[in-house]
Amino acid sequence: MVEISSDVIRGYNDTMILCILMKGPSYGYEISKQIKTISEEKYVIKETTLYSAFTRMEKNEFIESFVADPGPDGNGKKRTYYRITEKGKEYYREKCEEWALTKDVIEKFIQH
Amino acid sequence: METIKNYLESMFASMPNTPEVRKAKAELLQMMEDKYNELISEGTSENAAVGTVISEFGNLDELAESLGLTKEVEVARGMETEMPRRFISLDEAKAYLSNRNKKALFRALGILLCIISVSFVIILGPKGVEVLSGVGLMILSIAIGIGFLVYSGFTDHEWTFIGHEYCSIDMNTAAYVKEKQRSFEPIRALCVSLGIVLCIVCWTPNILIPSDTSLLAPGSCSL
Repeated sequence: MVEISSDVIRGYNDTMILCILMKGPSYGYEISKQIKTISEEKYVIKETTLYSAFTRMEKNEFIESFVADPGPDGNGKKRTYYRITEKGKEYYREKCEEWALTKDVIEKFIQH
Repeated sequence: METIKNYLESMFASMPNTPEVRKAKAELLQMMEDKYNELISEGTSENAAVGTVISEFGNLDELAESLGLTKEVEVARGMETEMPRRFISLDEAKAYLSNRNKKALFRALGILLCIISVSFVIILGPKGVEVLSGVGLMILSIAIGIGFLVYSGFTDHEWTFIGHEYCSIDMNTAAYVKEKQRSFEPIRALCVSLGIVLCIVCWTPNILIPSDTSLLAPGSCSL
């Protein structure tokens, strides 16, 4: 079975996370679960990849973190939530355009 | 879940013990715990759940990069020129701790000998035969006691840097030291309470053993 190469997808982990955060704040496991669902279980993001993206994007001010209680799912424990910033939204739109261009170019070299 | 915790511990064992690393560890554990709990609630067996969580964790290299440890290493290098941070290995930490034990033992013995030195005079009286007189034994006891004290002062000469140099330990060593501290806690509590009890009851020999002169009263001494 063909699997997604982590080298290829690396540049777009941020895009996926930001896409999910566009719909509202979320926390680690919830985001990884959504990535799995939206990708129809074709891509499972590693915990280390996810956390690395959080720290990097927070440093770049694309996202902000805050601590909150996820309610009944949380077993009474608080989670670190992330929300997208204006700068993050802008970055997301740029990445979308970049992907459209990348897809266009690569597609020309793919023989079906 | 215990297996997952151990796995994470071992992954982080060689990482520097900094607030960023501790936070990353806690966040990663939370994510793994969430995933584990969900798998279990879906009816996955414990072994399969642990396997899935660990296989989807990722790798250490990515982690170091993601934690910005590359940046941290640079900062640490920058600090090295101003304040070098000496790394203490687990073996060194063990050697230091056993040395501390030895130092404490000799210091305690030294103090004990100095304190009980007077009891020779009390028991034998100031007069006697030559060296075996109360005074002779008292001086001998003090001399040995001071010898022990001086020796205990010298034992940790090679460790003095710990007091005035910036040092660092890895997570493994931190865990080892914490465990040692935890397991010693009951003994420490016992010793402290015994010491206090002995101080409180030290006057009882004076009452229980009637004495003719105050000099002859053997008062018990405690640490």
